[in-house]
Amino acid sequence: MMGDIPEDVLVRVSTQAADDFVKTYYQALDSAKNLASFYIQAADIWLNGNNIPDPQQLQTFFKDKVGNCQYDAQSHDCSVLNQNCNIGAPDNALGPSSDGSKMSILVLVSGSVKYKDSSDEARGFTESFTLVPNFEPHSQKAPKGLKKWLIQSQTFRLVV
Amino acid sequence: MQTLESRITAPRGPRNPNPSTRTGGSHRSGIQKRSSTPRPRVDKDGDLVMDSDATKSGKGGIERVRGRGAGRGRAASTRASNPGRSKAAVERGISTSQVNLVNGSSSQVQVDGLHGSKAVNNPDGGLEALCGFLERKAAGLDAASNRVVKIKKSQLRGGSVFLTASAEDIAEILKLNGFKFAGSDLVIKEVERKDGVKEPSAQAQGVKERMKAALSKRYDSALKLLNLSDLVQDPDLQAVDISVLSADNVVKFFSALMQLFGDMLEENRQKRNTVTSISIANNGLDTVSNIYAIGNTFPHLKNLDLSGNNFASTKSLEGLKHKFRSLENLVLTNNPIVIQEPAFGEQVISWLPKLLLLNEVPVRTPEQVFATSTPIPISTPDFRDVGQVGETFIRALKTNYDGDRNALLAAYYDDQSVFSLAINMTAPRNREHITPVPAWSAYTKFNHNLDRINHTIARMNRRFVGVQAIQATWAELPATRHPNLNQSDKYIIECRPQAGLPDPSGRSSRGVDGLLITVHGEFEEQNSKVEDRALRSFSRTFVLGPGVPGGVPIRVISDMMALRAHAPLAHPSPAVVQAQAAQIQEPAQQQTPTDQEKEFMANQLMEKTGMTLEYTIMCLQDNTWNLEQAYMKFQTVEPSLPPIAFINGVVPK
Repeated sequence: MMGDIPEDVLVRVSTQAADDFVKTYYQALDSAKNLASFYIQAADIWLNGNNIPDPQQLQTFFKDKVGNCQYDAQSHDCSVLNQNCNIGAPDNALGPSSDGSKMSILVLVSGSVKYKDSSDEARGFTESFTLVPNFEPHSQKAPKGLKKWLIQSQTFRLVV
Repeated sequence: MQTLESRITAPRGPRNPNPSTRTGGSHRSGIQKRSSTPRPRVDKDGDLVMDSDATKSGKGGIERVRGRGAGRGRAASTRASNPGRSKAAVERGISTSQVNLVNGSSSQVQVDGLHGSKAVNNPDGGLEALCGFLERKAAGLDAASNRVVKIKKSQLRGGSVFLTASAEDIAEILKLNGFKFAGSDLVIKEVERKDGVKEPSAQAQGVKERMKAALSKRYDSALKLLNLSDLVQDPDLQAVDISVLSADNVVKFFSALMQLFGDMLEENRQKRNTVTSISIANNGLDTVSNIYAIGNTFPHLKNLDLSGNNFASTKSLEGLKHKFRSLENLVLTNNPIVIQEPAFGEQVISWLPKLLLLNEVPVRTPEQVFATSTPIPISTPDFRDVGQVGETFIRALKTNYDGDRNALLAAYYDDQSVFSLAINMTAPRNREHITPVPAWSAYTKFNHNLDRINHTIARMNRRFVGVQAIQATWAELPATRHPNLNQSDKYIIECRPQAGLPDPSGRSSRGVDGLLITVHGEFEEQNSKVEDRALRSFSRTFVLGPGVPGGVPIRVISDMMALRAHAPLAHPSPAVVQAQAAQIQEPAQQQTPTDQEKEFMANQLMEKTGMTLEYTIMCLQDNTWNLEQAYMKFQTVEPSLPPIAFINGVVPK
């Protein structure tokens, strides 16, 4: 329940997670590389009101349809939704954790993007993500370098 | 060669070989120009006001400029800050020859009494103080409407002050007659228009009026077409033959025309709706750069007719891609390029991303244009509400964030709700939205843009948890006015279920469902000073979940606002909206039936009607395999059917 995580830990861990996510995600988007690795398999992905059924199709979409693009996350903010989020958690890991590792985090990004082959003007976008803990690393056989948080939902809109 | 200026300034009398030696322009010295942007005019319906004597709209909004250097009618005229480039060109090109195209026809008043006031000892003779006083008082007389009175020009002449302002503002200022200013009673009276002290010479005024007359005749408001073709034939323009002018003068000429036209429009953003088509056919033009002024004035121009000119190469057209990017229809017939560079189309099409027709030949479909404008097509919002919870919340948000923030807090927030605000100060805007961005100072102390705010302490301090903390923050944030929710072009609102939220009852360890709502829109700040009412764009993401038992039933778990400079939202094209609306309805309509289904329907119909299989199938096909429809049709045509249509050739009873 609420209040288990000290406020400074909650803020440090969640904002750091948001910082890391924004930095790595948009780099990956620009080059359309390993995008699926940012998502849980059942992620709810909506781009400009279009549903992308799963992370693999998002990867294909960016590689084939979007091509080179340049995202610039000019502003990002985050907020903790649930301190003990169990979306995708194994039954033996439902308990709370005071180090913040089980938080779900809402990230709101406002930025600009340039797409190749369309008008050369930068367009504005706003995008929100729900990040949930990646429960893979909890298991023994988890490979190193796995992401601590994964995208559970994504809502992207060109606003300009 | 005859110059454009001489054509404009000396259309009838003897040509003046050296216009700059004339002295008539000096009457402008000592006049403080108070506005730098053209004030276009439009009547209530949004139509252009072409009659030059029509009352000027009193709408303010011009940055206020009051020169410091102007003394008692001797100082040089003080230029308002940052005049637009085209205007500078116009003034360079035309004001030297005394044609004042820039000053519109406003009303004037004469104010006496400054001489006897204490303000007369001010460095500027009290002019500044008097103008400020009059503007304040005149605006205050009509407090309910929050109107702004702007004095456009002020001039001290022989102890009297002459003020120029819109007719509406002058009417307000006249009401101040007899007011006391710095110990002196003011006498304010209207100045007759033709009292000899009015702006440009009659001749220059005449040229300007003729140009305006020409423009108004050439503007078709129904078609939104400005027809500037065959200018050489226009009696009002005294046979301006562009083909014999130097390039420089052609540029000036179009700048002047656009400047004048701009003066007739209400606001820059209305230009988009005022003119969608321009014809500049048959003018001997040889490069697009000569008509940049048109592109600057109408960046959204859709149809451009350049036929019958002298464009000979793609290079001469290159300017299209800089200034006419919104063109959908371009006509270049009867130009040398058609013969000299028959393949010019490919280049031109690549420059104009929205071009649909080139010389009346389709080059793209609107769908193609839309698809290429972003690789991620813009579709209608994804709004998946649950039991109208989202809709109810959005209505409460719109009403109460503007009107009663405490009521919103009381209805939807609890001691665990979190609010934060991030400012994107570098957000891109549309090319045509280049008004200065109002200062962010009212927001910066709350800015939780993690890109800028790196220290954990600051990050903690700018995160507001619980009703009390949020209330204190909202009390400090500027009051707002959001557009009504039915203004669908002002909002994009998406809503959908969000799983895994905390269960306040503690029963579900896997979490409960709530809603994730994203609102993209704009608001106007409500400052006491009207001119400080900034328009901002925002995106705001809410997560709603069930409340704690005994508290609010639905609570805001997270409320994050991202602010940016104002720019209109990118909406799906009308075609997409229509197509997507149709898609939703379509599945219910009909699908092509399988052969099995067809057979079943045929048997049914045959049984009911007694028709042969052949006629039955014809009937079903004619009614798109809709059984009911087919049967109804049968009933209406039965009497006229031949016996051969029926099994055994017998019409059943």
